[in-house]
Amino acid sequence: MPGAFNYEVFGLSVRSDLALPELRSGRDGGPIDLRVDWKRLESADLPPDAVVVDLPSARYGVAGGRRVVVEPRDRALPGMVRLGLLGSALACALHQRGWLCLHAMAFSTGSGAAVVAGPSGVGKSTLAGQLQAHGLEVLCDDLCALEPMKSGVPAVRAGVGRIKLWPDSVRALKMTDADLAAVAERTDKRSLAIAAGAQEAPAILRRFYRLEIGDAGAEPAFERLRGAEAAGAVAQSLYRWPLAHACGRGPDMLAAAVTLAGRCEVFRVTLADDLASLPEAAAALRRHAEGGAEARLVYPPLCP
Amino acid sequence: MAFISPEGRARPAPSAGIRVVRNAGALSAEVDGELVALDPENGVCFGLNRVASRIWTLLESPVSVDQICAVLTDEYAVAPERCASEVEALIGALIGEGLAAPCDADTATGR
Repeated sequence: MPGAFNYEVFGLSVRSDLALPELRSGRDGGPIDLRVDWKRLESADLPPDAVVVDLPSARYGVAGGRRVVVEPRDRALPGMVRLGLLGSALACALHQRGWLCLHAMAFSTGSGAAVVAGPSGVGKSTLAGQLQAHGLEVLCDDLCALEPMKSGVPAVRAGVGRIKLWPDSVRALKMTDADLAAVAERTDKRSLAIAAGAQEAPAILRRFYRLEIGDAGAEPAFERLRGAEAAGAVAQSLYRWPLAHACGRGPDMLAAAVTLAGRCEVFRVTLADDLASLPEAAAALRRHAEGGAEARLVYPPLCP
Repeated sequence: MAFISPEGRARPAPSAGIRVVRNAGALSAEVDGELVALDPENGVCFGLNRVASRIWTLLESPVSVDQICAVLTDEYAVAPERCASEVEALIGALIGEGLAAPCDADTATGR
C-alpha cells in the first residue's frame, strides 16, 4: 500500500511507499518532511532543478530536499537500493535543505554530543560499535547531518539506525558475523543496530574530532585545532563533496563548515592502528569527549 | 610556512619562471585571517596560514614562483632561498591536489 510506512531520521519525518527497516519508526499523521516514492523517474513529474543521483543499483531523483523518487534498476537487490537511498540520496536531499552532512559518526556524551569524522576505513564505525558496547548512546554512523544553526548552536539528532562493520571489526567487538545481518546483499559488511534510546531532542555538539590512525601501540593523542586548520578539518569531513557540488551547495557548505568549526571545539585524534586496543581507544575518546571545562565555556546559553 | 595537506599528494612545483593559477572552481573561506581552500569536486581541502593565504590570493591570476617570492620577500622578513623553497613546496602540493595548475601557453601569454 503506497505511503504506508512512516519513519524518522535526523528529526525529519519520512513517508515511504516501501519499508525502510534501517530507519526508526515515525508517527502516523502530521506533516511529512521527506516523501520517498518508488517509481520511474520519467513518470515522477520531477521539477527541472531536481538532482539525479545515479548509482549502480538505482537512480534517485531528489527534489527540493522534500522528495526522493527511487527507480531501481532491473534485478537490483533491495538492500543495495536502500543502501544508496539512505546514503547518497538522503545526503543529497539534506544538502538541498541546507543541512551540513558529515562523513562521521556521533555519540551522546551526556552533556551534549561528539562527532568523529574521517575518511573511509579509518575506524569510525568500529569506534561507534565499541562506544555503544560501553553503554554510550550512538546517534548516527557514516552520515551525520546537522540542521542549519538558526539558534547559533550546532546540534545532532539520531540518524540512520545502524552501524556498518567489516568482519574484522565485528570480531574486535566480540561478536560473530552470524550475530548480525548483512548490510545488504553480496557484501561482507554487517549491520549493528543502533540501540533505540530516548534521543528525540537534538544534542548540542560540543566537540568535533577528525580521526587519524597512528602507529600500532601508540597512545591515543588529542590535538586541539584552531582557525583555518580547524575549519579545514571540518570541511574535509563533508559527506561526499561532489554531491554538495552537484546540488549547487558547495559555497554554502564550506561556509557552514567554517561556522561549525567556530561553534565547537575541534580536535585531531590519533588512535593506534590496532583493533586489539579498541576498548582502550574508545575509553580514551569517551573520557576526552565527556571532559574538559574548556568545552563548557564555548557554549552560550540556549536562552539568553 | 606551514600548510596542511590532507593526503600529501605533492608534485614538484614548476620551474620558477612558469606561471601557475588556482583552480577556477576552487572555493575558499576566511577564518581569522587564514583561508580554507577546497576543491568541491573531490573534497580536497587545505587550511592555509596567513602566508600561504597570501600566496593563494596571488594565485587568483597567473603568477610565477619568482613573482610570488618577490611579493613575499617584500612583505615578510624571509630569506629569498627559504621563501623559494617553501613557496615551491606549497605550489607543488596545490598542483598535486588539483587546486592549482601551471598555465597553458595561451593563459601564460595573457591571451
